[in-house]
Amino acid sequence: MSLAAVSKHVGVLDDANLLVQTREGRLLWRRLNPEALEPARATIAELRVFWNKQLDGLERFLVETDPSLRRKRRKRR
Amino acid sequence: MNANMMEIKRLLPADVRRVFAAWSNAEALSRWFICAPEWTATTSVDFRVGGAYRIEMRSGGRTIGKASGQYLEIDPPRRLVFSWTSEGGVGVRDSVVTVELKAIGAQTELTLTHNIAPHTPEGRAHAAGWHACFASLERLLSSEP
Repeated sequence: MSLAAVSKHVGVLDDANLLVQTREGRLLWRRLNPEALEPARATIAELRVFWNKQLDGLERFLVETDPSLRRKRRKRR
Repeated sequence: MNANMMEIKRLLPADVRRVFAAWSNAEALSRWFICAPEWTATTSVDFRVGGAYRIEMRSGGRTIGKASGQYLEIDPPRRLVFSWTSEGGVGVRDSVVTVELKAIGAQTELTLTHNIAPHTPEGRAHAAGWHACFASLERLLSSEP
């Protein structure tokens, strides 16, 4: 991995506030700040709950509007 | 691996054509696109690539959530891709939802993926978190004196 590539990757992490920087003389230390991932993780978790509920609705709809089930119901009457 | 993406798979009791129609038809969509049976939804759907949709979910006369976007890919009855911006509930901007349908006998396997847009703060953090260099960076940092 080239130094330029490392620098680019570090830049991506930096932009996302995933790094904490501390300076020691001419050395710049970067430490991971995993808490910055939390908002994204929370959004993904909320989306999963949301879509699961929507797909429950789709499943109910498909059962209610099933033409073959409707025929069976009529025959039973 | 891509973790700014959420994926759900469901086996639905209908053939692929009926499942696809449930997404493409505004009247059908308004009947099922609700989080709970007592909710109602109003929908407008311009079902063509580039066409817009808008969904408003209500409960007891109160608006719970709104979602809107454009259709990006339409390949009936297998694949549907649309942009997604929502407010209320889970608010996300300019994300992308992909719905893929696969016939399994008389049933349909639905795979829904929801990508958070990489340029939003949520998406940026997430995309970066899974950035391919993570392992290399860790190695690099740990090898430094």
